[in-house]
Amino acid sequence: MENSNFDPIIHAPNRLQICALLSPLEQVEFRVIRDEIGVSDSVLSKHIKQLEDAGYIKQRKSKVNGRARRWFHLTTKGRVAFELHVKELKRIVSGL
Amino acid sequence: MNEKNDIKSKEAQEALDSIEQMEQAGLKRILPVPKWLGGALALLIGTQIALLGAGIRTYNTLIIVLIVIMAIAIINNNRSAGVEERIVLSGRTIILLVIGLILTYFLTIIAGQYLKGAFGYHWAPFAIGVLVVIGIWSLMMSNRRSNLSKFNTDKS
Repeated sequence: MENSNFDPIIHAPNRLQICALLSPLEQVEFRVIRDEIGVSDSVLSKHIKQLEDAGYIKQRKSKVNGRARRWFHLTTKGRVAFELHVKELKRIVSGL
Repeated sequence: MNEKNDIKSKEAQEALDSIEQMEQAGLKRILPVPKWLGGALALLIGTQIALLGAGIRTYNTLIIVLIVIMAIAIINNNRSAGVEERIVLSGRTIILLVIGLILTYFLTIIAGQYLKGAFGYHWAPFAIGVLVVIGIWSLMMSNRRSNLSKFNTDKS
């Protein structure tokens, strides 16, 4: 898998799931990502940090009913990287 | 070499399956606007247009407050799900849409006032209000169906 479109940061299973969950949506709350992926808060925070460091996702903080909540969304860079990665995966599967 | 390629292909397929599964999970979390909430909003906007067209301003403030409450309820309904739907429209399209909606809003009121004033059609503002209610309701239901079918298509 030595193609420029293949992204090792995204390809790690949990990070791939995070990007896939965020891709069709505007933004997703931390607890929803955690529940859908089925990991602990600390594991999710670690993956999120890596994606944030790569500039692929960003977070917004908001208060809902007095409780602080963290929302995450794919940046334009992240969205492009994810789409290219998916394209590369499809190319590998098709064997072209 | 072939074995290595098979593993690559298998791994890629598993990754694609995982992506599809998570995308569906995300879409599934989007809560459609409850029918009653959409209906109430459509009814309030239609009523306001009908009353303003007929020159009745008594309940205008109350209706505006109720419209704002309904809009906030719809936003909160989405936020409570922990996901926010993605609007795949460019900034320019959104601005044009908003301008179009504002123009339509005022044109319907003016049309009601004109038909009543110039031709004495006292029923006209109310007929326009009913048309607005039907229009908003149809748009909401069409959006709801489109979202549901999108999810079903993604699922299949």
